[in-house]
Amino acid sequence: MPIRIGMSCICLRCAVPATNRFAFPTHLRLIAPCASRSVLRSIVETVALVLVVSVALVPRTSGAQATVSAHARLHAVRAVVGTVTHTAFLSHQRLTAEQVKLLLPPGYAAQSGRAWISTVDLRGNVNGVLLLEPRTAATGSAKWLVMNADGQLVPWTSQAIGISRTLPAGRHTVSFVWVAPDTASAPPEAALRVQPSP
Amino acid sequence: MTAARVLLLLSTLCAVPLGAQASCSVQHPGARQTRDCTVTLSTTLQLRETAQLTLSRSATDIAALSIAATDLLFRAANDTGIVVMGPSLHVSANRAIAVTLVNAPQFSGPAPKPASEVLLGVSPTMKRCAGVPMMPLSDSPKAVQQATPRLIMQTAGAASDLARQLCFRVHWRYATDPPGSYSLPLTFSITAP
Repeated sequence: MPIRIGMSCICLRCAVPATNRFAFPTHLRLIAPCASRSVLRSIVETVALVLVVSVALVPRTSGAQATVSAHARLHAVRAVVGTVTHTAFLSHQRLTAEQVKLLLPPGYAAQSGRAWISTVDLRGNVNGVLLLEPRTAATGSAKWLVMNADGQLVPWTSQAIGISRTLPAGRHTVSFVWVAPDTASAPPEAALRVQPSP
Repeated sequence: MTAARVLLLLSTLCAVPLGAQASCSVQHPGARQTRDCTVTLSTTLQLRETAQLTLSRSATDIAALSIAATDLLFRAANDTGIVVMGPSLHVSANRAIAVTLVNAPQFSGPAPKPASEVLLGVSPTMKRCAGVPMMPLSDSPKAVQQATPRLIMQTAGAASDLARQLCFRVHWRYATDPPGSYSLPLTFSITAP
């Protein structure tokens, strides 16, 4: 976009009339004062314009050499985990006379062959106590004895019996002893449960 | 400075590279005399290097687990882990680029679950994770990872919407993963090699 200064401008060297001095850039310094503008003002404006152009071009040039800037995206792997416990009987075995003598209190020597040791698989992501809960369908349950976490033989009643102390989260194998009535041929059915504890 | 001069400045910036011939002059044009004056203008278009990285979603949720299902999940996950389909990753670039990953060294949650219990695989087939080789995420601090981030993929040249399926394999353990909400932040970056 040319800047019109006026019709009175001429080149002092070649006397060419100029309607705009930017049509004659090589003559710029020789253009006579135009209209109300002085030569000094024109030179100052020209120098300022060159400086502005130079400064404005600097980032444009350096920008062409810039590398691809880092471009990041965030992602999250999320999960909600609840309380997890699992219990299952692994085995039931009759105790031998030696095992009865070793495991049961004095006075139970005659229970050889009528005592059972059961093994339970316990898994959980919380600390907890393993409970043995009788089922109402168990026949003759009042005559069964179960060894609790303190090593005491307690009657098999309708109440849950703690058969372990507080166990940390993880996987455990817990064993406990039953003492059966004379007519028993197998341990009664029972439910196992983990009671979470701090 | 007048508005006209500002416009001149803008036109100079847009159309005239430094050093290009933008003017000429005719010496002593006489009356009724024609002279040719040719001005050569050259315009340079400088296209910036451009790259774009997109993930199909911002989070991968491992579904809330029922107690019954969780036990099965834990038992399976303890040994082989559970495969979870992650987001799809899309890259467009007008030059060769690389996509890298830096992750938090551990989950935020009720217990410091290490990030290495999550394995990451990159599948070339969308919605398919079967048989994809997976490697554990890093347990190293972020600053260490940033020195040598994990390479997820790279292109030999320009690419238009190059897609990859991300797959996770997550291990859960009874002893170390108590109930609660877990979150592991990942940062995927696109860089020029």
